[in-house]
Amino acid sequence: MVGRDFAIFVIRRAINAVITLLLLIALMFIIIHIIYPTPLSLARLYAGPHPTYAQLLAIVKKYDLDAPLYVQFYNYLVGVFTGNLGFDPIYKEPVVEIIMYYLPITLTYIIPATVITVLLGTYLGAVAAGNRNKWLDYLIRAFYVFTWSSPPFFIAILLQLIFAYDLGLLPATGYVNELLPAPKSITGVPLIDALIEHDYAFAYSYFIHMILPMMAVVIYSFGIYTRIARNTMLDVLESDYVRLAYAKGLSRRVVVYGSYGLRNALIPLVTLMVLTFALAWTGAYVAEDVFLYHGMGYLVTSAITQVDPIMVYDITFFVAISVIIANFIADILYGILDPRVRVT
Amino acid sequence: MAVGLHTEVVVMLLSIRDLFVGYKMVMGALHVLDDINLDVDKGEIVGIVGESGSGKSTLGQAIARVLPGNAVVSGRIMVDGVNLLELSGGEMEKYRGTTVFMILQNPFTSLNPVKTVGYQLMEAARIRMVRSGERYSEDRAYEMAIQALKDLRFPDPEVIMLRYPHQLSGGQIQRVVLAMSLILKPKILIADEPTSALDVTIQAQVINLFKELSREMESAILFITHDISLAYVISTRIVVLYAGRIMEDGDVESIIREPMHPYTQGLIAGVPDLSKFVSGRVKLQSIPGNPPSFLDLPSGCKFHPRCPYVKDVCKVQEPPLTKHDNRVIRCWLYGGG
Amino acid sequence: MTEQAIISRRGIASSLWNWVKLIAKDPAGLLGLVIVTLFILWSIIQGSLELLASYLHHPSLAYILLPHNPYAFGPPLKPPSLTYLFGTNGNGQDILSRILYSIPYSAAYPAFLVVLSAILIGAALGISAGYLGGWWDEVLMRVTDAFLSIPAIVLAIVVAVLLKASFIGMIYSFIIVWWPIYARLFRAETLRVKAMDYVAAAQLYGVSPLRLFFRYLFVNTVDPIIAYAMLDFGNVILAASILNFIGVGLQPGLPILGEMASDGLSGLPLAWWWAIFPSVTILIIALGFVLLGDRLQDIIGGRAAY
Repeated sequence: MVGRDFAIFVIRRAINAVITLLLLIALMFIIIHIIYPTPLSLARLYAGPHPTYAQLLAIVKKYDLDAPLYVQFYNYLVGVFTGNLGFDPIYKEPVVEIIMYYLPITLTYIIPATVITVLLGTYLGAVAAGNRNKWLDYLIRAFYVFTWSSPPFFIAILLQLIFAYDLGLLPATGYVNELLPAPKSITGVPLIDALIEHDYAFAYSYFIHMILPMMAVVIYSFGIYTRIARNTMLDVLESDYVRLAYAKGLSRRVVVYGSYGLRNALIPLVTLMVLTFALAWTGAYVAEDVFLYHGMGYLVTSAITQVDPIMVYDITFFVAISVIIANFIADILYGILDPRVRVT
Repeated sequence: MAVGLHTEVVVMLLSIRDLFVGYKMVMGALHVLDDINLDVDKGEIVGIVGESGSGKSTLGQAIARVLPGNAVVSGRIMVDGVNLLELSGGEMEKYRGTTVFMILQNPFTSLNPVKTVGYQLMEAARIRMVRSGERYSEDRAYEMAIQALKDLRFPDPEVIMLRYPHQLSGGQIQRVVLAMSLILKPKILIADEPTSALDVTIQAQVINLFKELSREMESAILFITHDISLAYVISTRIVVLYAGRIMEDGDVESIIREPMHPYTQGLIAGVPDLSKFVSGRVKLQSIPGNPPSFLDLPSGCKFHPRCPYVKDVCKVQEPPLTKHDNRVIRCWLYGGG
Repeated sequence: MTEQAIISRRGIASSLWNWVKLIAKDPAGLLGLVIVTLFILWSIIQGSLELLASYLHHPSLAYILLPHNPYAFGPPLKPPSLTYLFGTNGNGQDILSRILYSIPYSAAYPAFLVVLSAILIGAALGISAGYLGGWWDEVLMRVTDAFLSIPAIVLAIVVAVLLKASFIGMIYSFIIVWWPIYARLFRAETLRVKAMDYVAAAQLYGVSPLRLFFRYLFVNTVDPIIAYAMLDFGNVILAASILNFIGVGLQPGLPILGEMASDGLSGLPLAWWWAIFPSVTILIIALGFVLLGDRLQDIIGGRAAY
């Protein structure tokens, strides 16, 4: 890795991420203003259920909703970068604070879930491709086809029925035993806070509550990832340099699972990893509903039930930012894995 | 009964008998190679000549046993008396590299894009060392790689070792692969159109390197090409392939001077520089039309639709390979009942 | 692979029946084909009955093929039995009847409406971007980039919510979220096809742009997209069920598959059939499309030889 070239590459990717972020902000702004073209209709978003006309007017004044579009866009941008996304009418608190409370709870399990899916999926995809049309291949394919076609709530419900209700191994709902006192909020991430304070009872409870939703998300995102991993491996294994590697006399294991097969298949799979993380969010929304797990998904479903569109909107915004960050990390990974990319 | 070129009782280095190769496709089976019978001795450079679509790459891949997974193979490929087709995967691995090695047509896809040239050359060195019973030493492997690069006229081998394939030109990559051959010292080297992707000046360089390799290593070289004049320059013997069958097989001088098969005559007719060598007794005509698709092969002799001397029997029955002096030929014009 | 197996589009299978035979050669593909065919047949039959029933103001017409009236109240929370094959829900309604009744509009309508619209919009934008290039192409790429940076379902949820979370709002929301992928696919295919000679020949010949679009570009780019669309029907059905599960895209009064599963949560763990059977139905339908689409992609992508 040439140091200077790589640094330039990282900077370019970072700029790209920022541009995509700005485009995203613009896109969401446009969507909202197309659906709610008038200041009054916009005001409804920030109002609670059944607002009076006077309340709506007050909101229009408060957020400058009657200002020209570019002023509103400017205000919106400023809001985004200073962490001010408005005041939630239902919870009666700034939206950002509410989200920042629930966000770490979801991230704590979907990030490891994505990592597990990627590792497991890549390995099984490689095994399936390396054993093409033998029983191992069929087994893996059957598994990913089923998990891919399953609605995520089905996976979550099955997990809950089997592991929590039938076998009694893990708790059925909740994210932690309600009776335990919460740790002091140092980092904002409950699990880490508990560990810092050596509050092992809390950490343990948190951990066992986390397992089922995490499994649900892993199984949900596993299907599509493994299928593409297998197809990518199959394509790589048909390339000329693999043929030459065999001709050199390298063993099948080395070629398929080593620097010729798997290593080259990883490169296109990096983009898929971002997709898997994005998919993990969808899985999280559903899993938290089934397991009554109080994270972002729970926030979204309550917001829908309570008719709180601004909360849904802002949550989506945060989800999108997390995906853009994941994309940036993946881009860097891409640069590490593929020497051809670094030169540009 | 198939007949090979050499009839001495000596066991040939490479001896192919009744080789058949087909592919399983979505629409059914595709038959490509049929009735391939060939003997090659060490030190020979056999030019396998055929138009694109004649099955020559398939032949090369079949010998090295690197055919794609949907290939169907039958027959015998004997190397030093051992039938490669009967070996298990693991046993075959030991034959690849140091007994049989293959160079591919497209240099730009031949090397692993994520590893340096040095890594890939030293990998070959390690295989050579292990097969010879030597203990692996990284320093020794590095030496072997550098020496091979020097032998292939790289002015700065240490730098090349650190480069990635995408940083090299086509000619350089092909020379790196040739360096691999030097390191591996295979008994049989198969080169599939190794110069097609290169421009003419580099081609000449590579050809010379091939000849030197053959002298140095005493390997048998199977040089696959569509260009009969190239085959003439480099080979000691020429085998003409058409529609997956051997049409003619003989030593290079006599084939060029007196091509017997109408197809061979047609190939030479297309190259004025070669046609001048042909003796006056042979009438050269260029051949109209295109080679057949394997999906739809003609009956009888596969060449009959384009043959200027076609007879009725050619349309109905495929001629067998017959021996004529020092030539093997598949054509009803020369008997073969 | 082989030196000359240049298989033209016509060469893989010259008719629909041949495609069916090819697909059926693989047992998984065959299963997918069977499921999808049954699903489509049922949706057409039951869907027509429902439309007819509402047009003639004769609701029971829509129930004739069902074992029970999906709205009729009976003994609540009964496990699967001979009378109630899938059991009853908390209101005592027969789950099997509700499932069969809801399949056309829960699954079939969203799938076909969304995918077909997305293909048309995506084709128009993607082909024009690929063909015309320049700033239009750049703009399209940037816009699709922004869209694709958000997980599809997450974006669909927020747009649907903004559109008042109704059923039609959900459909519009899906169309908005779904077209970028097709635009990208069509653009990529157009770039590949544009380089081919017959397009240049047509241009030189002075073929009108509209004719060029349909007879040359669209026809030749659409193949891999058909295989992807097949998979996508399954994706849309799953996505719709997810939105319905969390409470978006519902129609008051009408039973909807995803919503039934969500209601069934309150029956867990004892009345498991309430949540499980609607979920399994979605699973089977999606499975059909996944198997079929997977097999099609393998055939078109040349990976099906063995």
